[in-house]
Amino acid sequence: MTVTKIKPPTLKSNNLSWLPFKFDRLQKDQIIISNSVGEWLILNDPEFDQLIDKTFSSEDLVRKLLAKHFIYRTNETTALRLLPLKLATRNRQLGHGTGLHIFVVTLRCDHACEYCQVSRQNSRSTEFDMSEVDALSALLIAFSSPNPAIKIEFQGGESLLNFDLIRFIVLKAKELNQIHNKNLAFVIATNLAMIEDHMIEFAGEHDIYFSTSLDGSAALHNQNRARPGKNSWELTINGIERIRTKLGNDRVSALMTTTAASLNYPEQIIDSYVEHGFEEIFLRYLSPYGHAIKTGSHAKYDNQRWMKFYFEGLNYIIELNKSGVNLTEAMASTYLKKMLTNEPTTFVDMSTPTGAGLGALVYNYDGDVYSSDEGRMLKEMGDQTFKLGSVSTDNYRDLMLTDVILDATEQSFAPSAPMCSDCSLEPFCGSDATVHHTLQGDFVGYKPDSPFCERTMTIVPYLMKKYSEDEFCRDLFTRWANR
Amino acid sequence: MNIDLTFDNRVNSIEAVQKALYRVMSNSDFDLKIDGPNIQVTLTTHDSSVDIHLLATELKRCVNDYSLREKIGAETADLRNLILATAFSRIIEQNNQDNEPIQ
Repeated sequence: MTVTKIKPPTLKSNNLSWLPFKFDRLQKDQIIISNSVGEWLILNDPEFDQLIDKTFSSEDLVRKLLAKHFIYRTNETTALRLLPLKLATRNRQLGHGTGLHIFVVTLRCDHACEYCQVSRQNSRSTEFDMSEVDALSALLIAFSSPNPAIKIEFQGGESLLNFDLIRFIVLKAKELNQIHNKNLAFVIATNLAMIEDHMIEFAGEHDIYFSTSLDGSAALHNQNRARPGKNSWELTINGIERIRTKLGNDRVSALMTTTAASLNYPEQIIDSYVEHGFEEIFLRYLSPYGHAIKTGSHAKYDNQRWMKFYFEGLNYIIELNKSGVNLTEAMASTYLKKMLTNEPTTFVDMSTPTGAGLGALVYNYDGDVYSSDEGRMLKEMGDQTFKLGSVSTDNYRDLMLTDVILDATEQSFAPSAPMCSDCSLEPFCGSDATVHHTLQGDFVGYKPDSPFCERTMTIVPYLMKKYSEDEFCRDLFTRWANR
Repeated sequence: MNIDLTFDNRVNSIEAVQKALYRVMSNSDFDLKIDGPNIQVTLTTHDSSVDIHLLATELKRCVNDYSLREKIGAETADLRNLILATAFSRIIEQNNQDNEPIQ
């Protein structure tokens, strides 16, 4: 018997053309394609060949490529009208000006954490407190930003050691806002060891949120975050409970820092967050700044070891969600927002061009202004690259037109950076000029050796595959992206 | 250990070869020469854990991919410029309407 091989019909492609897209080979028979508005698909080799040849045997593939704007019908203009709109929406924050204003109200701290990134000072040395004059000047700069939404974040050292200044800044900011009418928000970053009832009451009166540090179990947290009495964890948990009792569960969030001691315990760390009622955890990498460098904490494990920790944690969180626990991983959520929505990120480290200056300004305790929190951490290490000026001599325009902001902005625009310009994962990535300056000596960075790049190139394909292959993850990731 | 590769610049541009070298050569070294239509690349590694033949295969694959990216980029350049120009002019226009002037 003769078997005739039936060739599938080929769709006419004479009115189908490419729209701009990028591609990368994920592994054998898997190619990621993406475009500037964050649409993406994983194609197999035959599908990719059809796209490249513009000769299609699958109507379903044509529909998918049309829907995601990888191809268009040359007799239709819908895609050409939609793409600029989506791109404008995705980048609308670019012209907004600085939204996050970080006030380092003191460098004093009661803790002596091994990994401290801000080079804390002895808790009695008030020379490291911000003055009211500098605070007022900083507020005037903050309100000069054209951004209609201003978030004021108080940091330290331990910010509550200078609570009187926090109170002064909040009241003055609200006074100024009667003229400026901005969407104003406040966050106090604190270890909660020093929190008192009157502080919680003040926070309640003025809609102030708290952000604290919780590294996991009592043993791990107290090992990482040394203080007299060795009771950091107990004080933090007590503070969290008091805030929740008086103000509600949503008024306090927590951040963990990954240390070498954390790496073997992702599940225990995550369990401690669930046990204490948190619905989000950020499995953070250790930043290469401050005491983290001086003590060698940053060198104790490399990026690949951190990623092993990260994926163990992420998979555990997914399993917890399958069992009914509501817990989000914040870094995955940041990537997924870029992969599944048109919303710009609010995470400074993942912005492009760099969020330094454009996304955040830091007013240090001594009145100097930095383009990012990491920039002032570098200053404590003797590197003043990211110092923009001083609250006493410069206004918002002066600060934003400094060479360091202009150079870092130009050089960190990922769509035109070496390797990033051709990378299919660029629409989901960012560009951290400060970390590349610190680790590699320039704002652009050498991407093949960049831990920042390696994280995106490992985590994003993993999220894409999970989203594509696992129905539960598709729903879960959609929720995480739209938080 | 060394290995020599030759690319024909009528098939693969020097930019495609350079971009591929940038991407795959973080742990090794290379020399690049142009001789008429030939782009000559010598890969060198002193790291015994690096398989230079695998590296050469990876480089050739990467050069081909960059050549394909060039083709896609050239064919869609006008549309890309149109999309970018329209999008960013819209952002500027919107910001001028929404924002307070910078002081």
